[in-house]
Amino acid sequence: VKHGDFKTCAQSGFCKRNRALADQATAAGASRTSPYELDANTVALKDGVLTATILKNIGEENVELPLVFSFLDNGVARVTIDEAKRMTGQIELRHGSTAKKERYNEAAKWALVGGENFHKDAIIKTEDGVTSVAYGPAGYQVKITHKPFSVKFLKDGEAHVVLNERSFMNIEHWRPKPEDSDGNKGDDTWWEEAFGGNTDSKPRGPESVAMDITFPGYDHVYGIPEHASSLSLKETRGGEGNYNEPYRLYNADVFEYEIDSPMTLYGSIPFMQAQKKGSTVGVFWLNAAETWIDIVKQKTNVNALSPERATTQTHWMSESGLLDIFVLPGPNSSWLYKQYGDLTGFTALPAAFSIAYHQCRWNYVSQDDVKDVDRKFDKFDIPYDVIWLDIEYTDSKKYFTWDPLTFKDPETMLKTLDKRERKLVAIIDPHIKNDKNYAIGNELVNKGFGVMDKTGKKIYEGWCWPGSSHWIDCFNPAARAWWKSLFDFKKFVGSMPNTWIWNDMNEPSVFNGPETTMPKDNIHYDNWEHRDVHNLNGMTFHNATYEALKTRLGPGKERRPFVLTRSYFAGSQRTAAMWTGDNQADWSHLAQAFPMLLAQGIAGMPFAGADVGGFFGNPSKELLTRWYQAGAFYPFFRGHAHIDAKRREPYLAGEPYVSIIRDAIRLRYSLLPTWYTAFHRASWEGMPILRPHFVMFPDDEAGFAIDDQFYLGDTGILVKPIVSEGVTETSVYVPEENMVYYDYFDYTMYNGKGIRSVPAPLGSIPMLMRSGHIIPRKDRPRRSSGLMRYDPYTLVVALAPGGAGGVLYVDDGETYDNKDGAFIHRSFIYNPGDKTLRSGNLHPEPAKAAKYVKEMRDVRVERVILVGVTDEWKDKKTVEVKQGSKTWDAEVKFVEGKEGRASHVIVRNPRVAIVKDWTINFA
Amino acid sequence: TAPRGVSPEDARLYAGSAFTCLTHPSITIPTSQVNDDFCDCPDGSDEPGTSACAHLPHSALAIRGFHCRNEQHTPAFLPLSRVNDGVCDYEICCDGSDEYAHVGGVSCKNRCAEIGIAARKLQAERERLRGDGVKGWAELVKKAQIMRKEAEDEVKTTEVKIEGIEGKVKGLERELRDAEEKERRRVVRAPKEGEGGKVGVLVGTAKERSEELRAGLEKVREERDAALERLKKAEGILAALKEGYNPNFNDEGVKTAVRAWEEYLAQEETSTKLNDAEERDLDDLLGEDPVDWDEFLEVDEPQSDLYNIEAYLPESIKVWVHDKLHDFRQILVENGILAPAPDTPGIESKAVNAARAALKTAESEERNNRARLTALNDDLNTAYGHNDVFRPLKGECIDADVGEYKYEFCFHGKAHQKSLKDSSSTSLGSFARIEYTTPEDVGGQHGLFDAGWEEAHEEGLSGVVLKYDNGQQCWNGPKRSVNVELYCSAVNELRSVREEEKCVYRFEVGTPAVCGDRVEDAKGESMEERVRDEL
Repeated sequence: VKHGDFKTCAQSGFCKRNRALADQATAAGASRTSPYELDANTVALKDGVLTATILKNIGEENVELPLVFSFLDNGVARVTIDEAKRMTGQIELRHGSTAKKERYNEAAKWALVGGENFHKDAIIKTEDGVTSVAYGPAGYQVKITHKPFSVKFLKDGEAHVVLNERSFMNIEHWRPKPEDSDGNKGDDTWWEEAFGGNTDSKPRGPESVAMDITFPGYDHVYGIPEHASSLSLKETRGGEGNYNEPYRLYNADVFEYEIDSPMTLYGSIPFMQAQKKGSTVGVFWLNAAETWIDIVKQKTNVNALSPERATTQTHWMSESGLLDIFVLPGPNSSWLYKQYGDLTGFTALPAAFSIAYHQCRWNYVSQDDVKDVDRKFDKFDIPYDVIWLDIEYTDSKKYFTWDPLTFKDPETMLKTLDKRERKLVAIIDPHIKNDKNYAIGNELVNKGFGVMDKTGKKIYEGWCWPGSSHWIDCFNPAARAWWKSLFDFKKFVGSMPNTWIWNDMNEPSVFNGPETTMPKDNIHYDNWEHRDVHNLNGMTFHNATYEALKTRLGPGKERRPFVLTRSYFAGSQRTAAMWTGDNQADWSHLAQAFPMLLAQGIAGMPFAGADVGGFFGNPSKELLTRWYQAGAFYPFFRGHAHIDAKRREPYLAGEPYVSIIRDAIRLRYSLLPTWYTAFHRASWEGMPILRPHFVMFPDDEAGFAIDDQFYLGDTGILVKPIVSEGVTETSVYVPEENMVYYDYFDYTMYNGKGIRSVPAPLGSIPMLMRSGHIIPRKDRPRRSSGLMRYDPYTLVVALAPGGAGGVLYVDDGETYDNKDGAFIHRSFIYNPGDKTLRSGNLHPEPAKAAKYVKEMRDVRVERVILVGVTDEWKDKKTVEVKQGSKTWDAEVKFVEGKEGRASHVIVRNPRVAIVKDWTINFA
Repeated sequence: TAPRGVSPEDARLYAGSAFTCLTHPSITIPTSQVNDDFCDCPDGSDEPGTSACAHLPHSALAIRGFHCRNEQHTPAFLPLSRVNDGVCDYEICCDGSDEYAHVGGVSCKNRCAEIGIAARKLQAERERLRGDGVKGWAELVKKAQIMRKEAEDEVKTTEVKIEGIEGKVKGLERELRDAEEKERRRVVRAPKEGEGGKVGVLVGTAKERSEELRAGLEKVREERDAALERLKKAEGILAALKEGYNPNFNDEGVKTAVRAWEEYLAQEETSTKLNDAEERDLDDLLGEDPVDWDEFLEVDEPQSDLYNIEAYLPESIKVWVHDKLHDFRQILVENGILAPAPDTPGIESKAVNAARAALKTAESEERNNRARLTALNDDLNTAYGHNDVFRPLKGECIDADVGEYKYEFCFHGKAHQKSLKDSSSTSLGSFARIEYTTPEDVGGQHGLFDAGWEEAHEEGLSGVVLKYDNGQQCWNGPKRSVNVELYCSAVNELRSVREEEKCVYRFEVGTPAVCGDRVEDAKGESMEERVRDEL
């Protein structure tokens, strides 16, 4: 990375100012008083919403800062602070700017879909300068200290989150620029800032918002993607093993980004989770402007007998906008993710094909090239679902066009792909070529749908792939409607129903802009400054694409769109998948991907992947092979390569690599039923697809920092992909004393808690099955996932003394018929008491599924494998199967486990239907 | 009858009341478990007619796939993973027998009749073309033989010629030596300083000086040309940089260089252009010297033979006296008694000049002939492929317009990419070698599956590849190179061009030159059989 292209905190005026303030406050200790005071006379609580005014006392005047404190039924509380003068427009903008005078108050409009269930019975009490509100579930309380203003969030009397404990709170109120150029308010960063040859005119002067947020007794914090950092966030104020810079959130196209760094990347989700043994809480900082977050940890002894624990102190700083904080109470991960999802929405249940394997390259250079790759996958018997086209397919980088020489007949190409239910994803970016002969470019200009420069009157012009370009402003509803119209099959000629879209460069990436993005004083729709909305920009764009694709086939024929985005914000999960951008073909980037993807998952956007093989550079065959084995566990699984990199389609690797890669991709396909089921749960409960250790075992502090092994959905499958060279075995942390973990492939047993050595030669992936789970698979590889639709299932039962259970969710994978009940949702429970495996229906309204069930009625279970049976099963030859009123026998085969392996039995072709209730009795 | 998915030849393996896994004899299952859609054999042999064993690794499989009878066409094997997947795989199973379970309601009717007709038509056409190709190949081989014979003949005649010239050179060398000897023995060759030969000295010096200047000028001009060449190259590099740099790499160094180059271009418009008139003047200066210095230098016969004592002595003594006098003079010179004789190079008699010129001509003739001989031998030793088949094609060029470029390559020559928009041309490399590979489109190897009929419309590649490398360097990439993949064709043609990865091109070229490889490889198999196998 070129560090010089991106700001450090010291080069970003407001970050420097707020850090300086923090340093002063820390140095002054108790003697410093925060100038913010709640005016007790203004406090009012109505229907779960408290309003009041905070006064900022700066000597000559008291700046009025209206406070809205909302209390929700589920225990979530929201603190919103605005600035009275700005709300009423009593300020003057410099340079004749046409920008809005208000603080940006529309981030919620984009990010939130809920949060309106106010706790109307919240009870208020004020005494001794402290206002307390009891609300939500029993035991929830907020204590607001009036002077200086600070807030404690309590659960059962214990504080879990504290605002302004360290007096870092700062709301830079509007003030006129002093006439005297040597004026005493001479901070050089207040009125304009220059960086990389661009000067930010800052028409509103300084306006940052900042708050310190303390998590008492919580020693780990996670989240706030996107950073190439560890899952458990590091301290940022220097010291051994710590960073010297705050984590930054300012969506940017960071060329050749480096790993283990708090530098900003392409997307941002300002949601942080704090974890301590047995409890978790979260904070959502709703602000779309440039944001920095400092983290330090204080060792504290609660008392002499308790173990030493850390208190995590964070400091959040944003350049503009409201101060808007959500405190999410947890108390465990599944509650927390549900609370966060209720606010920002859950990840969309993806189209089924999109969680299969994707083949990409910058670029497949012609339609013949595409067909050739397609053919070779079949020839080498490697499944894949989607082939991708990067920017070179267009006619001179004009989106919605095809290169007339290399893609003469895209329809035939797309039909060829469709024969095997394969799809094409084509790239369409937000920069629109500035070219007189480009109708879409002219329309953009003429209709005024582009982002404007700082005058607010002239369309902004910058450089990107096509050269001189304009940027569509998707904050503008008319621009979004226009964007939607461009996807009409008559307008985007050559695209077909199996064409989906990749939105890249939507940070936005501007090659000649400051920090490779737009000037902050550019003007968007409704006169908001780019500064205010920067981190939202990418989301507005992929949302627009999503809306366009959803209804492409016409009314009543809505389909679940697939859109991949590079830039994102809280809420992006509702419409897009993301990938970690331009990584590199080296081992360290392979290793870095999992912490990043785990962070995405816990921040509510689990449909995430990293480029398999590494974007820049050429991976060795071993690295490529290991990357495929790892990528088979990326929620979004795509191989990609830079235009300068050598071809690396899996079939080119030569043996033994091709076979190992084929096995890895086939493994992904066989587990697609469980992946889809995990996505389904994420889509209504927010549980991540890849679950870090601390989510699975919130009482096991020893594993809180683990980010190189994880669990797949609810399956109990524990994976530790190999991410370093020359490995033949690896250490897996087995976290439970009384649960057996079985090797996924050969059923080797791992008993007892501790770090265990698991063999991992090149051909294998360390994968264990936690006992007590039932895993549905489809073991027959096909050319694409669509062709597996009617294939039979295999159920793997990893036995535990208490029994085992699992879930399967299936629907057509394409339409929204599932919302009308067209889905299959089954539970599989093995009861050790009566030795019976039962398939039960989890569908709340089975009648609504009738039509779909009929379509799927012939889909059966071809095999049940019970792992971990005792020797008394040895002589069992048949089991009794019951389905409906019928009963029959199925054969079983006992396989004795040798050399530390568990014995297992295989039920041969029980002929039970996946849509029906049935039992298999092993007694 | 054979179970579903089993070829008639293999039917016997499935006869009897029990079935033993083909490569796992320890496992025997009842016949009822053959094709019961559950995989029992670790080699997949119990499920030739279903997809139940499709998950097995290729290396473990004992069967070739699902056998489609394809009556009225050619039987074929379909990968097990494609059985009952809801797709009519007509390119392999034209009879639609692979979708007997009608999953998802699919129904594949038997299309072997029409596909068979089309395939046979295609096959006949292919055979015809191949026949022409083989004829073309035979002609090339014949031509190559003649060319080789001609070259070998020329080698012989050249060798004889060289022998003759060698003799001539020796004779001329002798004559030159004699002439020089005669010259040396002439007494009082040059006038002493201070005597009447002042003009002679002046002329000598002037000639020397003139020649020095001309040599100097020549050298300067060569250096200038070399410098201009380098400048042009450097400017070309910068122009390519400006054209090809990727602004997304956002490299300050590159951006600065591009900016500076643009400024440079604006300022330096005319500087490097050569002035034609000045060039002509230089040519004149360096051309034939207008002054005949020899005329001024030609020394008349010595003024007095008296000085030439040696001339009066008998031949035998003359040499001895000459040598003694010479030695004596040396001693005097070395001891500082006598001044050294004035050095007068270049002042030679007409006789010596003529002898030298004659020798030079003969030597040059010898050199030319030797060069020709080397070239002939090199050519004869060059690998022109089996039967020298590419020899007649050397220097022959083919091209095709693909996209915005004309792609051209010459057998045993160079490959180029020429813009159709402007006159720019990029070297994609020079011929390096012929490689013989396994043609990638032959299926059934390493557990791979045949592409099938659908993709077999194009003539398959022969596996003979002409490698071109060392082309123009790519921005941010390697030097350009081309793999010319050859297939059998009646005429030379460029079928397709693809940039497979950055700056590595793949040309598919048809030529009769590889039609014979098929004939030779077939080893007894008839053309027809080969062709049918292809299909």
